[in-house]
Amino acid sequence: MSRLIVGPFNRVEGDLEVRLDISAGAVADARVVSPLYRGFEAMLVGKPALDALVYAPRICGICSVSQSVAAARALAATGSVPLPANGGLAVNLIHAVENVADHLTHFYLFFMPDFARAVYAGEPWHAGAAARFAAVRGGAAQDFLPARAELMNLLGVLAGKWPHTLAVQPGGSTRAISRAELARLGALLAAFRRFLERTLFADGLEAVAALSTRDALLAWAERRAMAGDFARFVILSQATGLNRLGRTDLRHMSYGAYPSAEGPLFPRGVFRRGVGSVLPVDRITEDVSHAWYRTAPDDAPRSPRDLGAPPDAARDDAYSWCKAPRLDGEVAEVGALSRQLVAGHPLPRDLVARDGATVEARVVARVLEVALVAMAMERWVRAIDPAAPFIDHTPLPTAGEGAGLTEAARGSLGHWVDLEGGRITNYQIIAPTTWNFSPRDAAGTPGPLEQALRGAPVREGEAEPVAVQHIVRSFDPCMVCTVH
Amino acid sequence: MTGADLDEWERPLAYTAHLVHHGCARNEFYEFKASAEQPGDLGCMMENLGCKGTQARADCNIRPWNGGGSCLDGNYACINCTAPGFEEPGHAFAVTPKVAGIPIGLPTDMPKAWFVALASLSKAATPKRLRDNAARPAPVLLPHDKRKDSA
Repeated sequence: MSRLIVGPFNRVEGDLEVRLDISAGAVADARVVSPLYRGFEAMLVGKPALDALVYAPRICGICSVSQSVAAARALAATGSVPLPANGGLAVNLIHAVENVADHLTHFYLFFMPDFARAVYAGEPWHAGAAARFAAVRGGAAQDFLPARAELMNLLGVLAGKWPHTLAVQPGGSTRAISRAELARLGALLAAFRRFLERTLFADGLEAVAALSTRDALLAWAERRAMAGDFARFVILSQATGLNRLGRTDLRHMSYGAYPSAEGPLFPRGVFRRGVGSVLPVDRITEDVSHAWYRTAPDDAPRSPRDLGAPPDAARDDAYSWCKAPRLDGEVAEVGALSRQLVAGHPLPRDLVARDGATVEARVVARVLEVALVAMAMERWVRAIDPAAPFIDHTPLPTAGEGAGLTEAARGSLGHWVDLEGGRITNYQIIAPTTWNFSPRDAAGTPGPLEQALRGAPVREGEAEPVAVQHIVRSFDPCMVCTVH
Repeated sequence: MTGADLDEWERPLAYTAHLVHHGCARNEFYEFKASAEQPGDLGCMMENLGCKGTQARADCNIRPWNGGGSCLDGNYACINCTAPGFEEPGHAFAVTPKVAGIPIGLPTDMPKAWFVALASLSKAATPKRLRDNAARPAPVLLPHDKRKDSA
């Protein structure tokens, strides 16, 4: 048995360290360490209610709009603030731009460059993968970055800027969209579709959305003959066995994403081993038995409705600033794969039925979701009525409690707020990577990444095992959100 | 970049030689003190909604975000996020603190007596178009060429 500490990780937002026990060329045990505490929840106490819209998004420069949406919904839920249809559509569009930009940034800039690593230099596909996906030098980044900047022009119109927009409010969006601006949004989305259909998929979005099995996906990728970056991934994944790497067998959770009067685009729920169920939101707790916090008197798990456990850096039985969220006492995985499993898309369901939740399934679900959301964005732009209101000005109550549940690109994000006298008396946040990178709980059960890393192969002499890199990145972690 | 390119906080002068107010598309509303009342209204956000664009030093409305967009274009107030200490303004971000109806934070380099005098004068002179549009999310009166009225 040997011990290996991997970290800090590049191409990951924030600070992360992974401690591995290695035996017989594989990871025997893993501890995931979030080494940075920031204290946003403590900062928010005592602030005027609406100031949460300024502070909370500054947790993160990547999932900023997700934080805005969660904060706005939590505040709206303290009272009864109506959301005009246009407001819902505009906020969905703002949120969708961030989420698909995050998915693509993860795919092109964070995940794919690992195939260019020197450890793969002997593989027949390495030269091609490196030319396309090497960090900074690869051709893919040069194609993707201008497309990303053009997509972000939607946010210039809809939200003034990104990140840290204040356009997202409890009653909708401050930014009414004129008929001329709708035409511009449509043109920007048409340009985005062209990038996806030419560069990422080399096929129509509708054809990608219709892929329903792993066999169909592999056949589709082989027909593309290495045209399109998604097909390149599928072929590289097959060559490197990513469908056998980073496996978990956990509950998948989604809070539901992109609400509308007809229901959310992706529904709320839980999915495990082929069976969907209702999400018991009131059974979410945070355990601090292995984190640097103290819950008097007995470290009992707390509901996010309660005051957060105070930090205690002196605990020597702890190893992370990340708390351990649990759903009805159990570990849950979150992210694009979980969202699409709950939503019932046949492709991720087939991938997971065959191989479990793996590195491959997480990446496929993420890229598939880009196609699904891009098509929905086109529908939302068409549904906006420029003559109708975008925001409702019903004031918040001075006292109340509310929860704001949404889906960031990398999974389920919840804000829980209490107000008294117009000020915040408690603010609790559980971020997606808090779920996925959670430490052990009181029962000793490891978090999703800790479970996914068990059995990962470690080659002779590897200081940064490439399998560990693939598995860690497959969750698209956002560490600054994890310990906010 | 040398010391001569930086301001007293060592921020690049390329950004901080300007005020957020420079290039603000709501300037006509500012000139006549035609004010927004609710988030999303078209009018100037200084009087009621906490906007610090006339004090904040940044080029946000000259060099728009990603080529198009700014906080003011997004219909929400400037919170002076380029300034040290902006995070603890001592008041709710989206509400202008006032004494006797006059905003505490006046435009940069503007003497208070002149601000009060000019504000009351310009309020009295506010064109109907601006007065009617300021507290709405979309204009109800547009600029109009009277030469076409007789046709």
